[in-house]
Amino acid sequence: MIMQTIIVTGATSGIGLEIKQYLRTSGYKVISISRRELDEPNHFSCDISCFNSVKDVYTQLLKSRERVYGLINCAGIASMNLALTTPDSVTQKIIAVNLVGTIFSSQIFAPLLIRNGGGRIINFSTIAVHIGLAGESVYVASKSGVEGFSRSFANEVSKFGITVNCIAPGPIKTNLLKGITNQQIKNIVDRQIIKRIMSPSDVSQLVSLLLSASSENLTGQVLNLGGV
Amino acid sequence: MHPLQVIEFLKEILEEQPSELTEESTLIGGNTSIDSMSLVQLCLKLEESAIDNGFVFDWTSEKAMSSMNSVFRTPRSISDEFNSQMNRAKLSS
Repeated sequence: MIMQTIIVTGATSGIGLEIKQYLRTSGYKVISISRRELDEPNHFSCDISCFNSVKDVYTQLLKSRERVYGLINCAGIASMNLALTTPDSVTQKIIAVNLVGTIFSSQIFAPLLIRNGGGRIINFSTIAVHIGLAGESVYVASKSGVEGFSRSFANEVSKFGITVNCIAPGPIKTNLLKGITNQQIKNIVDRQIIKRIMSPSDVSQLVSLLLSASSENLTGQVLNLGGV
Repeated sequence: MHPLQVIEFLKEILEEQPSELTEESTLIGGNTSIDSMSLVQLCLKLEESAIDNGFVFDWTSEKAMSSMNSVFRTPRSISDEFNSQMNRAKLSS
């Protein structure tokens, strides 16, 4: 069996790290990308919100004739604030990393998937988009953009055998939850159909499903983990 | 790269062969317009050819997107852009 290659952005922390480890133990070759320098094979240090930085990684992969089957855009940041009290620099940063970074990564790496003859792109949104959570306006705006981009991009690349979907989890035990109280987490979880905090492995299993051949006809969708 | 090489690429890509494809055939907005999918496939071929020639072909520039001055206007303009980028790469290395 040929080992498939998956690019994972934001792969040194949170959901990205969990997914990277899950994929490696599942037999995939993972190319990890994050801002952090890491002394490990197949890791690239890159600012996902910088077009040229992402392009440099693409060029290296292109030169090594890497065939890529999947791209998982996990890189993201959160800052839980009322929009009224959010500094402009924070707003810019959230939009740059979460939305622009996802767009850059998708548009720059997609040709690697086209050369592969097709593949999967998985982006990350949040359940907060659906429920319009107070205190997350800017974060929700960035992730709404990711959902919209994913639906349109799915149409643009479907001819090349590429599917594009979004996973929108509720609260997951990662660093992104820093600063959110247990009561706030409970309030969100209570609005899910399945009323429990999802684990990173719940996300990984959905990633696994989306990477599988079984999901070849599923594209342009937002999958709310836990249901809304 | 010679414009004829671009034409060869286009012949490999296009399912419906235009009756005539010359170095000056209009590729965007004319009778022999190529669709967006074919354009992407052409870009991939140019990119691979560039790698074989030791440089990276950039097809995401604002110039490439311009409808009036697009590098994808004709096989010749594509060839010119390819050679221009190759020469710049050689000079800077």
